[in-house]
Amino acid sequence: MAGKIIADTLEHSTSGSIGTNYLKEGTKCWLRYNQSTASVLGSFATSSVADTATGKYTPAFTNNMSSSTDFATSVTRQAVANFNHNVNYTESETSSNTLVFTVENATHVDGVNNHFSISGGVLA
Amino acid sequence: MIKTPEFQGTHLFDRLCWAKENLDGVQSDYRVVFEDSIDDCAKILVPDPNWMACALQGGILPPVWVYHELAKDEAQPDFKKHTRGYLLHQTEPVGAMTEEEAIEYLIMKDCPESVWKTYNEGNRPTMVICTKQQLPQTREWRNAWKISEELNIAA
Repeated sequence: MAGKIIADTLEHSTSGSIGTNYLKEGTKCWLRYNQSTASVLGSFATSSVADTATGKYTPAFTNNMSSSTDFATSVTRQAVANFNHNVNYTESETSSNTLVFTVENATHVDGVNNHFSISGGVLA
Repeated sequence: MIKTPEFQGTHLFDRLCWAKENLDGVQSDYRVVFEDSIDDCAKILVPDPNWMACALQGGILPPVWVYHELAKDEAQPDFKKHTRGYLLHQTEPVGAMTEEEAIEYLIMKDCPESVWKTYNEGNRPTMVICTKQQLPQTREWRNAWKISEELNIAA
């Protein structure tokens, strides 16, 4: 049965309450991506991934963010044996896509289980 | 096949939530290889399976011109924040596409406009649609991959 609940606050029986507007700032887009095979393992609200170069990929969003700065990205990947300075970061962020880098020992490398997600303001 | 609800006026995010809940992902074999800078290696666009399911289903995704309008807004020097989100949510969603039509849509959405508008005007093509089986089967020399100059492109 289709329905609609209108509420400004969610209240837990013992832990207090929270405004439903926090949902507005929750996760808006996520992706699991194997760059070695250039395949999408799982996702929500991404339209494509551009394999840009070794250790670089660009997820594109189906629902734009409200601006290029009104969101934060979280990027991780699988544990790698004998690694040092394992770094993941983003660059060239826009409201419709962002470039992701995966770095290991100061070298860009392809991850086989990259995790990417975005939290923040989706374009309303 | 499940019927898409009447979605006009429904927030795109809600439409995507419905699709995630109700549609199985479709893994496309198509890939789009493109070059947007002479100094960089070729890039390979991989369609998202959930997005492809939305495209084949119809009634979920906005027309591609909506994204172009938002991109124009973002390209303005004084841009701070989008103000025309209603274009994504209020514009009538596009109908069901074939896989090939979906790839064309995706090219116009996610490849740089400078590539898909002029890909066949230079000495060699700067964009090619192929299958994943036609790509190199290993990642060796990935950062040197280029579109072959000997490739024949139908006019």
